[in-house]
Order: sequence, then structure tokens, then C-alpha cells
Amino acid sequence: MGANMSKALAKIFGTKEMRILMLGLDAAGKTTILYKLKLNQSVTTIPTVGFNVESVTYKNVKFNVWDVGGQDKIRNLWRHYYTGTQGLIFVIDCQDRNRIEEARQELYRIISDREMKDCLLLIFANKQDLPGSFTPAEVTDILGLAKLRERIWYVHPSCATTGDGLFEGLNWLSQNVKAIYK
Amino acid sequence: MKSSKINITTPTKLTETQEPAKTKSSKTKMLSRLFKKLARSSKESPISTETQTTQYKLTFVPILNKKDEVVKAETTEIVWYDNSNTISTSTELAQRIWDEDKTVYKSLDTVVEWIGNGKEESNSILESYMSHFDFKDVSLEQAFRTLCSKLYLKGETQQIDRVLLQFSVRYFECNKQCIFGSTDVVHAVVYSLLLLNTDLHVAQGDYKKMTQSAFIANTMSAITVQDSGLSSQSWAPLQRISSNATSASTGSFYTRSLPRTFSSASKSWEIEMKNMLKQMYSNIRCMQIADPSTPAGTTTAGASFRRNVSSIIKKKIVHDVESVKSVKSAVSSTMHYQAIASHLQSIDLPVSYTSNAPYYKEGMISCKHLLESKSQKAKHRDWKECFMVIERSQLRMYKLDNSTTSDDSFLGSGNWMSYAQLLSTIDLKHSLAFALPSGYSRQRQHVFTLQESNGAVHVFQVGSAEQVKEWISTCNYWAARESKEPLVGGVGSMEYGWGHCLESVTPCNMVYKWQPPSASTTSSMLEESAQLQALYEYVNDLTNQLDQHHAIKSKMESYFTLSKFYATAMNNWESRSFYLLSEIIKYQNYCNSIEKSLSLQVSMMA
Repeated sequence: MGANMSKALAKIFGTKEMRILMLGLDAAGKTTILYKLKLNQSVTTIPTVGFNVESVTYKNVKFNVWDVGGQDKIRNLWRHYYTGTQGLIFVIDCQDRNRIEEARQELYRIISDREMKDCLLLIFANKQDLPGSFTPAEVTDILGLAKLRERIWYVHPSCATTGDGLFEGLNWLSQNVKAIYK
Repeated sequence: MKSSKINITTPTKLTETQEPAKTKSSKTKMLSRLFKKLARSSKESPISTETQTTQYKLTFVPILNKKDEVVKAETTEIVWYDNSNTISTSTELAQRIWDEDKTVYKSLDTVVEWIGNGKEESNSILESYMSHFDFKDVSLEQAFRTLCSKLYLKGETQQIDRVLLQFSVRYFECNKQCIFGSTDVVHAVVYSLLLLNTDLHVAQGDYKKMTQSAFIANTMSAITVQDSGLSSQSWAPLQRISSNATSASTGSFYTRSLPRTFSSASKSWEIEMKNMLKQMYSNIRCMQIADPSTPAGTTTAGASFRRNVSSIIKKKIVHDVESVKSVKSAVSSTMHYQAIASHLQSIDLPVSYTSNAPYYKEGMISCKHLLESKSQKAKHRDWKECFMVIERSQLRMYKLDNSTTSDDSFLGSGNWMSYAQLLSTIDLKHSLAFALPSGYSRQRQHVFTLQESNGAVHVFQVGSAEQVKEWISTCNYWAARESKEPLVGGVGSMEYGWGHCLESVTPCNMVYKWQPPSASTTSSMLEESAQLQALYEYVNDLTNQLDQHHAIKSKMESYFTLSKFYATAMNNWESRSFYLLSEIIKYQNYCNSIEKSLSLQVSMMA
């Protein structure tokens, strides 16, 4: 009953739903992030066949996070989910200096899509715990984010294995979703 | 013959695998000798060599892999499978995965992670694994369901995708004449199927589920991107192939006059394709794709129902177990203060100290929830009596119900938990407790408040000023120990009034409202003195930030003086200034708490 009550209250006080796409090169830490975010929730997930998709509730906002991706040839398939996406989480492996250029190209391929024109861009500068990793400021430089005039973006440091920075990132999304969707 | 090969191949292979673990080389050498002996003796053994080799491996694995588990599947085991088959290790590994030989992987869940990781050797295992499937004349959907019921498709998206691609290669190999016409098209369709299953059965939330028409449009658009048009050209309707099996190309009505009727061929291909996708959609909607954990033989329509029921039962069990666990942990909590000593600098501090403030505190208290958050009053703001326990950074409030039992064995017996009902818990991380020197009201003199990181405020009333002190010191001590300073260095595009705009000459076109960042949700795992060091550094960092923030104020004022954003920018400045200041006060308090604890321990141990 308590749970129903709090659900009802949450409705009154404005629970929002936000669809988030999470993308990035493989081994950047997407699955770990999703798993860590989910770990703080009480819901047990039923094993099902599919891509990694989770919903996480944080501060009155229900985040439906989709981790899709794969080869370029089938990009059209997950483009379906660009529509109605309010936030993009792009995960960067800050220690993998060899692949950051590949990551940059991938990011621009995604955000240049018309459907992604208005969505918030949260970049997790992940693997901050590892030595020699790029700082968020360096990531900003390399990705050339300063040139993105019309977009609201934020590069947040994170360490997926400990969970550091993840909810802070979600918090930024939930604070600013209002700024663009009124 | 096999055993003679053993003698030749084993030593060389073994030396190879030694490389990653050089320190163990002497041990491995000894082992290799032992294994050679065993191998020789197996020559005479009538038992099949296959089971024998499996046995060797089992003894070999735990010794070599204590340090690094990852090696397990890839190096050591390859060596022993070389014995029975020197041609290709990947074929062997694939065979063993296929046979569900539990010694080759940690659990079925991790197989996709391994064979889908994109490395060359994994790719060949994957390829070889797929060749075990016979998909001849099986519909794509059915073939995919077969794969999913055999292999648990769990892993990173890219890993899953590699498995899908290899599956597509195999499917097309088995069905060259199928409507899809190329591996890439099979891949696109099968990816789309998995996406559909995710959309309809996995994802939660109030979003619009994928419709049939969206599924078809989406899949078709992905298909056309593949080797454009090729698929429709090479394909001829199935009935035609069967009537003229030998020469589908020359006998086909469509291909004979290809240039002119090409469009009509592709049109009928498209119709056929769409019909198939339609069928797939309704099949997937009616019955989700089952994974290996679903009992065999439940491929009927009832399967999903049974699945649901069993998952409900499973959920319930999990729930029950959890509630039992929580009760247990609560019961044992009274004993925990003895273990608290292990978190302190002087680990052999007597229990008489670790069971008291600032390390542990419990007792009856009156409390009132004043604010829900900074700007919102709590719903129920009445005073409540409760039994409160601070155990590390968790503050718990219990309602004690002693009406059913006699009072004498109540408090102090350590058994009070059996009468306790948990009312609420508060996470002390990033909170700050302080006394209200003049009390809350004339009736409530000895009072302290606790402010949580989200701005929620609780008020507590106790019996004496001494009690107030003890509660506060315990709250703040554990907040100090487990609060973790945030990761710094985030960079964003939003202008709050002190960013890049100050360096440019043009007026700023947007200033957003600044909001304080949220506190870190993870706990600090540092030792007491290391934590103190980290807190000092953070206070320093905050102080620098505050200095800079103050320095920039005049610049902001002159820049925004004519701007319509003057008020927003200056309000932002005020709120950040306030935020930094309160953070400094809080963390300075934390530093003091730990310093006190450290000096207390020094004086105790002296």
C-alpha cells in the first residue's frame, strides 16, 4: 500500500518520463553504467531476450535508458528510437586514446541526425579512475564541443565501476529537461 | 595415435601459456611433467581420451588461475584440448560450448561476452559455434528462436550484434535461396526482430510500443540500405524455384526479361517481404522470444503465460527472502558496534568506546520531519516517539511495540529487535547535524536538527544537552567518514553568467538558471586518516573556488549591467556563492569530526 501511495503522490507532484538513448563505442562502459544505475533500484529484472534497456527512477524522473548500437549498416534500425528521445548519453572511454577519434566521429554521426536536433547531450567521461585518462576538459577539446552552438551539452566525469558520477549526470539531465521542453 | 600427439604438442604449448604467469614457471614445469606422465599412462587406459583430457584440465585450472581468472577459458584449456584435436582449437571450444560443457565458461550468461568480443580467436569460435546449427528450410524467426533458446544473448550491444551477424552468415549459408538474398539483409531483419522483442517485452515505461507499421517501415528502410536492390534481383518467388529447381535464373519469368520487369519483380519481392514481416510482428507480439532459462518444450502459446506466472512466483520469493534478510541484518545490528572498531585507526580500541558516541548511538528520541526538501514542507509534521539507531552512515528509526510482552526483558537485553518495526531510514552521507542552542520551544529544550543533502530537515528532541552532543557527534562522524567528495572537472555548454561570455565582447544571448549539483551517491571506502586527507583537499578546493567566484563578481556586474539577464546572472552568482559556503562549512565540520575521533583514539590508546 505504501508503494502505491508514494506512486500516487509522485503522480501529483509531477513524475516525468524521459527517454534516454545511451550510445558509445563498445567497451566504453555502457553496460556497466546501466547495471550500476539499476543496482540502486529495488526492482528485480526478469531475464528476457533483448538489448539492454532499463528504467531508472531518480528524483521524480523516470529514465528509460536504451543501450542500442552496433554496426553502421543497421543504423537505420535504431534510428527509430531517435524520435522522442529527450536525452543522449554518450559514453567515452577516457583511457582509450587510440579510439577517441572513432568515438568523435560516431558522436557527430548521431547528433547530426535531424531527430536528435533538440535533445540534451550528456557525455560521460568514463574510466576516470584509471591513470592517464583524459579529463573532461580534454574530452571537450578533442570532441570539439565548443563549436556546437545550438546544443545544450555537459561533459561529466564518471567511474562506472564504482558508480561515481552517474547519478550526478542523471541529475543534470533531469534539471535541464525543463529548460528545453516546456 | 592421439596419445602420441600428446607427447609432442604438450610441452611446446605449455611453455607458451607460461608467458603471462612467469612467476609460476617452475610450478607449471612440474605440472607439465606430471601431465605428460598422466598422458603416457592414458595410452594404456581403455577410457576414452576425451574424458581423460577433461580431467587433466580440471586439476590444472585452479592452480594456474588463482591470480587471473580471465586466462581460464582461453589459454589453459586450449592446451588440453589440443591433445585430442590438433587441427583447430576454436572448433574444439565451439564444440564444448555447444555441448554446454560447464568447464569451458563461467556461466552461460558470459558466453556471448566472450565469443562476441570481436577478437580474432573469438570470431573463429563464434563462426565454428554457428556451424553447429542446421537452419536448412527453417524460417528465420524460428531459427532465431532456436539460437536464443540455446545461447543466452546477454552482453554489450556490440557483442550481441557480432553474434547476430555470424548467425546471419550461417542462416544465409543454409538458405541460399531465401527471400533475403544476402547475409546483410538477414542481419538487418534479425536485428530488427531482437529490437522488436526488446520493445514489446523488455522495456518498461509509458512509451508508445512499436506498432506493426513502424516495425515494417523501420525494417524495410534498413533492408534497402544493404546492398541496394541486389536482394530483390536475385530472389525469385519460392514456388517458381520448386517448379524449376535446376535453373531458377533462366526459368524464372522475372529474370528472363530482367531489364523491363525488374520493377515488378522488386515490387512482388517487397510485398512478400512485408507480409513476412507482418507475420513476424504478430508472432513476436503473441509470444516473446524465450531464453535458455525457459524450460524446454514450452514453445507453445501457453509458454508466455507460464513464464509470467513463474516469474511472479520468483519475484515473490525474492521479495520474501529480502525481507527476511533485512530483519536478520536488523537483529544482528546491535552486535555490529563491535565490528565498528575495524573501521577505526586503532583497530584494538576497546568495545566500551566503539559502542558509544561518536562511533555508535542508540536510544529513545522524539522526532519531527520538518522539511521534505529545501522549499517543501513535509506532509506529516507531528512529533513521533521512536527508537533510533545510528549504525555507520545509516540512521534508522523504529517503532517499538512492547504491548504484547512484559517490559523487564526489553531494552538492554539486545533482543529489542523482535518488538521493533522499522519506520524509516536516513542516509547520513552529506548531511549535517547541529544543535539548536535555545531549544525548539519552551517544552522542547534539548533539540538538534539534521539537514540532508537534498535539503530535507529533521528535528530531534532528547533528554539532555549531553545527549544532544552525543547524537550530533555520531551523526557527523559517520557523515564525515562515508561522504565522498564529487568528481570534479565537469564541463558544460550552459551559460550561468561566469562562463565564456565574460571573455567575449558581444552580449550574451542566454543565461540559464544555475542549480547546485547533486551530492555523490557512493560511499567513501577510505581509511580514517586517508579520508581526513581527502576532506582537507576538498575544503581547500572549495575555498579556492569561492575565492575565484568572489573575484569574478565585479566583472559580471559590469558585463551584465545593460543586459536583460542581469537579474538571472546575479541570482546565479548568489546561489553558487551560498552553495560553496555551505559546502565549506559542512566539510570543515566533517574534518573536525574525524580529527576529534583520531585524537580520542590516541588518548585512549596512550
